[in-house]
Amino acid sequence: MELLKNFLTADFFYTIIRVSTPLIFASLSSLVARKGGVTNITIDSTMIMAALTGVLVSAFTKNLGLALICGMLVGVVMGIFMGYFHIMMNTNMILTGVAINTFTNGAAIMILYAFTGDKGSSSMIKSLSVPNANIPIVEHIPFVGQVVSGHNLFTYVAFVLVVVCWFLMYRTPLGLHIRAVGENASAAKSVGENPTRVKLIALGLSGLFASLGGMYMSMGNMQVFIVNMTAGRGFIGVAADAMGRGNPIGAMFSALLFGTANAVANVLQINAFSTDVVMAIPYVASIMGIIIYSVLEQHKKDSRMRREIMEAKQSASIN
Amino acid sequence: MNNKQLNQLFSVIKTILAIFIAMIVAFMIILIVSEEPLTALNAFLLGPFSSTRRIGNLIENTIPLIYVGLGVCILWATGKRTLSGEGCYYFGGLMAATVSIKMIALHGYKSTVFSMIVVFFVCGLMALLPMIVNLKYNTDAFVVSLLFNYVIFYVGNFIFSKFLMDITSTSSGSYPLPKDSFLPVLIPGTKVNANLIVALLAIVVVWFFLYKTKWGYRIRLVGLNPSYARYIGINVFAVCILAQFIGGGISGFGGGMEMFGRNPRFSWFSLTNMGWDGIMVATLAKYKPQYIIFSAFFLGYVRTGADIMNRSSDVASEIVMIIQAIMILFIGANAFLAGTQQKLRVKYSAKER
Repeated sequence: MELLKNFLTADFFYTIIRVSTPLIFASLSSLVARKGGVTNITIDSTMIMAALTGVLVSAFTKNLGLALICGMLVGVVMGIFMGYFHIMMNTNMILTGVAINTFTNGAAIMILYAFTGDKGSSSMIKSLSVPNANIPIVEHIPFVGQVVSGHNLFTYVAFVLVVVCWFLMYRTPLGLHIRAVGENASAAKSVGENPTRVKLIALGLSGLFASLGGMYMSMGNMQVFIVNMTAGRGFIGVAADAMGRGNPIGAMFSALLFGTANAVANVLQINAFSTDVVMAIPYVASIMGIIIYSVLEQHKKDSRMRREIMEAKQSASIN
Repeated sequence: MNNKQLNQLFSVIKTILAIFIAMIVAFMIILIVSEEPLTALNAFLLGPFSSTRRIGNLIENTIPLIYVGLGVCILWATGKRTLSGEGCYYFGGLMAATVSIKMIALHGYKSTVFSMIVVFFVCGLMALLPMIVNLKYNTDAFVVSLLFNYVIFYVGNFIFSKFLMDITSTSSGSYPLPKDSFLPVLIPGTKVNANLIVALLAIVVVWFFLYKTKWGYRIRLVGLNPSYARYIGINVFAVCILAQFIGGGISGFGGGMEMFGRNPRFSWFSLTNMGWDGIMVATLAKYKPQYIIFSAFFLGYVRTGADIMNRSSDVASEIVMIIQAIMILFIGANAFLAGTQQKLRVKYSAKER
């Protein structure tokens, strides 16, 4: 009972939104790539690279805008780089991902070491961060104000991006192109589509979204870059997208669900549970999420097939 | 020259070119980053052979790479890509330490052998979950195995801090591993022990299993064409599970063997990254067990060189990862040199006519 009190506070719900932010970015990133027919497993490393770029550029130029632009640029470049090797050089998707992840793990540490002389974190240099913001009227509403207001700007961008992403996918020509290519590249090609170009654009967008998530980690949530600071969040994002059934709104809710698992872990940790078991909670939740989603999906497919067989039988008996 | 020979030739050329490109990039990075590039390059290239101890280091670094490479050869042979090797390698080391420290009833080599049997089966079983859910519910095997590795790690860390952590010692780590269970040292003055022989045997066994047994053939057939395999009556589910079990078991075995002679205590506080390295080794070896020895040795050499360079100059050892990544990209790229190969193919087939 004592423990339960920790969960029913405004702080707890505030934490959920805070820890869900990078997951939302990651899930949107995965979503765009998946709609284009590519499972992007480089989201995590894109986040790391963007986080590092943002911190370094802001520390050395003292220009927040430039840092953000550079971070996003790195994200786009990494997305397109993956696309180049996967699509144009015809490399296996997983292998490309493995290579890029390995590359990033090494390069991030090397770059950090070259600029700060430290292999663990960027605490030696002073970097800038994106400020928190209060929502004018909402902030005075009791409880709701405490939960919703006062977040980092990135958090609000994340939620806006969910809507933008939905609009992009379902209401713009580009979204239609991406979905068509992802559904069936050959069919799209036969009607004059250029699948390579569309996939590269999708992966570039995917990298862009991932980079925002990464910069939130190092310039919003924390003001420092730490090696391995994403701790697999990019992959949890892929899980959230899988569970969201390819819908940005669904992906957002799945990300919030995994964020809740994260927040629960945070609270339990303070209450001196075994930290290790608690730390595993978000990952267990993600695996469960993927499995449940797949079971439901298969169930749907099975019942659709059964219905089609029934209809076929009926029409056959009529004839 | 017929088509098969041409394919073989090009696969060799591509591998060599990939290594070459990766090394060139590495040299360029060293030149840019380092203030004393010649010292760094010297340490990197010649360092591993400069003393008995370093040659010993080189062999010690090669051995675990052999196991994880073999692990990936089998894990990926069915065409399902998982990253189970990573979690299994970590857990293998942990299980070996746990069993050999806690089973005080067994002494000497009995303890070693018993721990390794336990490790093989535990890790094999642990690797099954991502594959089972993939086969049953069609989930993404790679992402699930990757997330599952984190779970394995935190569970492992829990076991470590609950049962193994030695709070009386100043060095962070487990209780000391029993010395009488250590493997006999082969080269005096180094830590190269009987593990080397076991690793070489493992290569032979895996090669024999994949290429000379019924189950190995089935595994490869499923990898080539799962629908065809199912059509001719092969139980694809069982075959995938078996491959995953053995692959995970071998990866775990590699982690476990590290515990008997290399370090006095178990002290892994994060995932080891060996699963990713295993993919690298196996890709470089074209997923053929007989070539694993070369690719593992090469990677061991690069890694030892980078370690030495890290200590004797100002270049970080993480440059290894960049080398690895570039090699995988170019070896994996099917379109790389494909045009030249096609031209030659056309030329030779025109000649034959």
